[in-house]
Amino acid sequence: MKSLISLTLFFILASTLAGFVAAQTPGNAGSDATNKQSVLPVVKSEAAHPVHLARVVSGDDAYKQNCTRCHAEVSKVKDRMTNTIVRHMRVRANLTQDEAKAILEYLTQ
Amino acid sequence: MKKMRQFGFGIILVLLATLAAVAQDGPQFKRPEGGAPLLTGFVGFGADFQSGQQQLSPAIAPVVLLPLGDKWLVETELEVEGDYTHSNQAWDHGWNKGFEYAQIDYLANRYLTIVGGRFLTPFGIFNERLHSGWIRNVQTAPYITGMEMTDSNGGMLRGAISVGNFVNINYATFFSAAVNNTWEGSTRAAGERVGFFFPAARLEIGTSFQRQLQDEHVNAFGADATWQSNKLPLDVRFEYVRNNAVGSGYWLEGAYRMSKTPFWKPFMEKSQAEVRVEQFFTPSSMGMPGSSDMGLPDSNAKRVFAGWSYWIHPDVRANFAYGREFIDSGDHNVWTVGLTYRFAFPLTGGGK
Repeated sequence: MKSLISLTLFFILASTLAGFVAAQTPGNAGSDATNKQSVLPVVKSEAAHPVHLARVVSGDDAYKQNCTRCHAEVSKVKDRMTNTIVRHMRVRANLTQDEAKAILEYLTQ
Repeated sequence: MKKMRQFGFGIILVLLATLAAVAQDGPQFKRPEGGAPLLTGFVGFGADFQSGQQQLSPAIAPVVLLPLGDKWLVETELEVEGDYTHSNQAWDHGWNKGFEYAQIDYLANRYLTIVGGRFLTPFGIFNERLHSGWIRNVQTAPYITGMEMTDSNGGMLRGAISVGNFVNINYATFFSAAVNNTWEGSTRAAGERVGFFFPAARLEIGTSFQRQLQDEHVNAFGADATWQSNKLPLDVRFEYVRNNAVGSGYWLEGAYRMSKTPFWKPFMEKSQAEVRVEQFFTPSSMGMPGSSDMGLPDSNAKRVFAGWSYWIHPDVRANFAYGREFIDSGDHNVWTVGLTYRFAFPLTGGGK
């Protein structure tokens, strides 16, 4: 009986999560540039610099989907400093290699 | 002669194919040449006022980042925090200092980074991602951070794997040795965290596990979630921890960026409203002695905060929060104010 209740609860949770994810996955997800204010230029890097990667991710999206989750404001620093900070954040925030590359490109273009 | 001609054609074909491949790449992103060694970190000041007790906490946390080649990074953070407390007696004060981390990272490949040295323990989300004074929304750390291991000395494997555009799976697994040292102490333990990040939904769900391998062998289990709305400037964060020896608890925090507010634009664009709810539950059986030394309440407790942050400059943040704590020893108000400055300077030429 207990396992049946657990299974039901798990099913409800999984269904809720799947529905939630599906509802939150529009085609232009992440393109709402107003989500967090940033002093960085908002440029669609996908158009400016095609990123030929396994997971197609634009710098703009990668920045908003990852960096703004913890940093409400980020000031722009020199390119070589950005390179170091992105490497640090790749380790700290467990960014994928593709995301780190796209963010570096976005921040230094 | 015929073989020579075939060989020549082969070379030309390879060259043409290479040129074609290079031409197909189109405009190339010019990667900044190497990373610059950095001195970064923050300077901050926090004050906490509650009935019968006032606490002032100045802090400085310099971080040195030293990239070596394309695959290595040495990173250290030293944190020095003052604790000036005034209760019914005179002011009592002391300084806590120690290395938050002093680690070397090797980016082995796109899926794996090997870390050695002293590092922030990968358990939950607060310790690794939010603990810095210039990042956290409410200056007062949640109750449950008192029962998490903050630092480890040993080795860690971590990384992230994309599964198409749908989900990124990130992981961290570690082993820590026991070190009895004021500056870099740690407990013998092993553990892991696995997170599932859905980029389009901006939702991450993670679970953590940790086993203490000295004294009492205690297990700790954690779950966490972060979500950012695609439509509103809203962040939601949640973390739960259960430790059979010292208790369990959770915190839930929402932060709303006021950038869309139609009035007082210059002020609101740089402001954020925050709310945090948290609870701590003591263990049902006899708990681990000394859990109050870990900064945990002696009884079940609940705390609610409402706060406001204002960015004077992208690197300078002022915040204020009012909270109320509900606890057996007496409900009371908690007021906190904080000011942090985040700095970043190149140690050698930073380039452009």
